[in-house]
Amino acid sequence: MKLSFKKRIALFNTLAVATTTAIVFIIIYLVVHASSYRHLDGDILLEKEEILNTLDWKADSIIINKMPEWEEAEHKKVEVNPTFIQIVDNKDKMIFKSANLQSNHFLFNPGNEKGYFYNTQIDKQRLRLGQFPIKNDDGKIIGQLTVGVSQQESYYVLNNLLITLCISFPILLLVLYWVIYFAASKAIAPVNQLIRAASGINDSNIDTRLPLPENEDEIYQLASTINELLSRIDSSIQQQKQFTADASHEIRTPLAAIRGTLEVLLRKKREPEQYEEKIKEVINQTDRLNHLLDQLLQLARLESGSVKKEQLNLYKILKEAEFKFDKQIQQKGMLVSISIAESVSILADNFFFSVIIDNLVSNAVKYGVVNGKISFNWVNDTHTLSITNDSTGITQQQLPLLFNRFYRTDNSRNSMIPGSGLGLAIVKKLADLQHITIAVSSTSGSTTFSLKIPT
Amino acid sequence: MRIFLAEDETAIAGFLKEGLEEEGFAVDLATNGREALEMAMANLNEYDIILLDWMMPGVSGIEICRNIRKENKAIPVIFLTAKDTVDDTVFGLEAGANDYLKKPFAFEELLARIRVLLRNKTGEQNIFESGNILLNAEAHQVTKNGQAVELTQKEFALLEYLLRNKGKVCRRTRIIEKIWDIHFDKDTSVIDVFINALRKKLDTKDRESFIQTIRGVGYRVNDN
Repeated sequence: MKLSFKKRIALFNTLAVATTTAIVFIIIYLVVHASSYRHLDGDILLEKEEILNTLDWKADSIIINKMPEWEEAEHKKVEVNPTFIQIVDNKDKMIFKSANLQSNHFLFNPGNEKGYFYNTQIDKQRLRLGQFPIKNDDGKIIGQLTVGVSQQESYYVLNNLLITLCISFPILLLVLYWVIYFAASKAIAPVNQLIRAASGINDSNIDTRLPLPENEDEIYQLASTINELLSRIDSSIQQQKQFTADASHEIRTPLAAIRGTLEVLLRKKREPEQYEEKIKEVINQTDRLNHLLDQLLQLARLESGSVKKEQLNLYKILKEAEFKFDKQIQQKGMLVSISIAESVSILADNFFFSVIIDNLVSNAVKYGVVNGKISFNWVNDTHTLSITNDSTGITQQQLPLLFNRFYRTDNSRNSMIPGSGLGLAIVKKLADLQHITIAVSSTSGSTTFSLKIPT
Repeated sequence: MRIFLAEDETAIAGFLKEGLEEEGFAVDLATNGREALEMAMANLNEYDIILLDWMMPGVSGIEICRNIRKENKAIPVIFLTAKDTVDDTVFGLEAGANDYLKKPFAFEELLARIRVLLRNKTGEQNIFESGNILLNAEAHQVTKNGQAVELTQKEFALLEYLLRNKGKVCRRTRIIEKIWDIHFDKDTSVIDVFINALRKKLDTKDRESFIQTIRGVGYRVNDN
């Protein structure tokens, strides 16, 4: 059964109240019931004492000293708050019967030794009876006294109470249900408002935020939590859009160059050297496209990459990287110094870590100054590898942007240095995957990348 | 016709400059935003059309376009960009551009759009005549008595400039500014070489040259 939230609240509350109310009502009824009988029983006991005082006995026979009160109306008539008395001796012979009993008589238990109370009905009159043994001085039971009082009044009271409780119970619950229902509707109205506002937000207006209520209550928290969530979605959509825009820009640019170069080339007859030169340019552009696609694919694969950590010899990895870029290093007349003990080993993914080092070394060679130095240092205490190259420096504003996909500094864009702006984004991604903290700092003379490797 | 081109991608800038120069335009090239802004604002009124790349380091094409519009409302501006959404196009046009070309584009299309904007600017057709000489700027063609005449780029550009200003005296310094790009030193004697070449190719024998020399000032083409 599907119930709305407010109906559920109302139902649960009503059920809880129903249970407690039922218990309270039952207790009230029982208390009133018990106390009214206690009252009647008290009256009966009083009457019994009074009667026993007027009785005498000789051996086993009871002698009644008839008192003037016995002639009182209460013993004669049934109508006015009557008291009934019946005395029977131990041979079950009726010795005395008050006048108001007329032809009736009470049933009694001849073996009764202690006295007890019970209910009966005579002429449609509800009676409370007490039957008590009459004992002589030796303690022998010589007869039975039955005292009866009308319980018509308490019966009515109890009956009325029961009816009242039974009728008021469902009414109370019904009223309660609707009161709680409206209270709940009122309480969750701001939630409904949130739902309406939130359901109006889609891709196109993701920058909208939910209005915050004035009170800093749970609704406020909910709204601000949703807002934070929206901000995160917003920024990731923006990043996605930016990425698509950047990627398409990076792909279209070499395509435009290829197309334009060939078109202009075809517009008229040219010397063979000119064709050769232009074709080489076009090949360069296709290389650029190819490199870009490789890196894009690498990034895409990394999104679902799994890391296999193992002990790696850091010195060996750095040496391999140096060897790989040896030609470029020689061309720029650069000096490489690796001041790291050959025994240093780190815990990282072999392939991923090599890609990081390759990218960083490639950058150090590309952006390092001619005849400059590239140095690798290892600080064992902090478990940090740093790669420093002589460079013209990167401005403080540019530093945090370096790891963004497709980011290239103005200088690197303008210069003839080929690059897609994806290398450092890949490095960052790989470092994150392995929980390696990567940082970059730059002065006017050098740039340092440092990798803090977890143990 | 002098074009200002701002494009940070050397490969694209290269073919554009080459192709446009082969079409007879003088092309001034800037390869980053700041340089572009400086150059454009310095000689704004010398240019007949401006081509801007949108995404350039330093100052974006949009900013340059806005700056140009503050100074000069009439000069045609075309955006060349890899940005391709409708929003981008609208944004670019709202910044004051007259046209918007998405990379990669066909070079012919760029030329056609440049011609359209130049035609709109001058409010004329791109066909000019003087006597038996007819120049079709759009088709990049010159005829004399209906016979096609081969002209070099500079000859064509010079003739087009003179015909566009038919009846007016064209000063030598203006001619240099309009036909040669910014890197050319201001030695105006080079004009005489091209004027002579034009006279040789286009003048009718036994008649006065269709290009009149105004001594010490420049040249004039009359409608005769």
